[in-house]
Amino acid sequence: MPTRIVIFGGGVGGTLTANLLARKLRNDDVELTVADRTGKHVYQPGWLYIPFGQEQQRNLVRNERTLLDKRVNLVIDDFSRIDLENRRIVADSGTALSYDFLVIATGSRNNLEEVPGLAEGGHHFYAADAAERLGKALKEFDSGRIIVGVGGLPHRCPPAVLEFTLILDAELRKQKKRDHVELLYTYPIGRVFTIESVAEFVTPILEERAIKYETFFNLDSVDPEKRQIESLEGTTFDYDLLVMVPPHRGADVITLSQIGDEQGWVPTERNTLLMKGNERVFVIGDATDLPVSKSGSAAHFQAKIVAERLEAAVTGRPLDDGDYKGHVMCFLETGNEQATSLNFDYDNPPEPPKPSRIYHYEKMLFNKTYWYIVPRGLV
Amino acid sequence: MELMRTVKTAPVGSTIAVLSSDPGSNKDIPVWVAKARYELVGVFEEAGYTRFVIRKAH
Repeated sequence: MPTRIVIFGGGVGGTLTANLLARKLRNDDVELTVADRTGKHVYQPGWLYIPFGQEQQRNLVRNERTLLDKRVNLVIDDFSRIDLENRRIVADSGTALSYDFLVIATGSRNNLEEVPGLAEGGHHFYAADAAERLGKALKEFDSGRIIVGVGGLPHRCPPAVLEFTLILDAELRKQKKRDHVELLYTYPIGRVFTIESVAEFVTPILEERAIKYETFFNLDSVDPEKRQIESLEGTTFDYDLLVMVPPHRGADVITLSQIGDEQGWVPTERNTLLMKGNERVFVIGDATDLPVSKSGSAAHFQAKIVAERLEAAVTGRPLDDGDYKGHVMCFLETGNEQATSLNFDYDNPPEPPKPSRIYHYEKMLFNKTYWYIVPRGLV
Repeated sequence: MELMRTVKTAPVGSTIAVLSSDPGSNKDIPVWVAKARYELVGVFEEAGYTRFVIRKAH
């Protein structure tokens, strides 16, 4: 009997894990299945560029089938429960997939409802439709105060909110609107970014560009009529346009299956990526409760580790190392076609180099070639 | 963040103890408590961690 590996979620982490395993293992040894609720693979980092007219929704979606190795089965159904006891995942339709090993790669979701008034009063770019609406609002915006902030931690692609702020500043300057627009950036903790070295790097850039910032601002409510936001700390600001990263939660299926923490993240061993207390379940990407970025980059590196560990488990081959050390590598756009890079792990914080065009074009190149290089494991 | 969420849901007048082994907390927590206008009842150095006691004053 071949070993049955079910990978739940067809995002970056799930797709790459499946394709790496298809390449590493023989058909006789393993049966590989990706289970996905939509069958659509979305390149989420592209959403950042939609509000500025630099990217379009239709370029950011592909059919998952086209990205998977032909030896991988794809089952699209409304999977709503992970049944650890009986080692299977179950869909509302009654479909059930049994596994010997499971990889949970179910991602995260926006939870706007957590903050009263946020859905009605705020914009964001953490979904393609929302990013398009924000683009329209920005086009019509000529003067007043724009607040850009974070409505809850953790959230996907942490640097994106800084990137959005810096690109927005640059675009407003190009359009000669910046003199009439006040930009205010808010962040929940005592500095402008979670990672201290990045906060130290970016704070002078915000200051140079006359972008005001308010730290320890934990969004408590939005009043869409008065156009006002209030924090848990009791600070209020008026706004003319509000762009707030929504609070995030783990996928509904994690909560429904009662296998996550309060916020729906799955407790995960930091080096093995095994679900805590379960030798047959791995967790990757946004779904984990690990202190690393919820990003495609983290999922990308984690997928390689999980594929290596699963290969060892199926073949009985010893592991070379197989430990995940928290590696993440991403870019941070600073506006004006410039960017820096962030390369870090659990023990070594990033040391961002001076922004340059090279990093920006590297990021652009990566965004365009993603479809060909990442799912296939070429990088 | 954990602290902020806990304080948010706690009733006014209650006292909350936070245990932290992160050295950054020694600076961050008192600043946050002052900003939120709560009361920092005390900071106690224990073996391997610091205990912050906060009263939700309003």
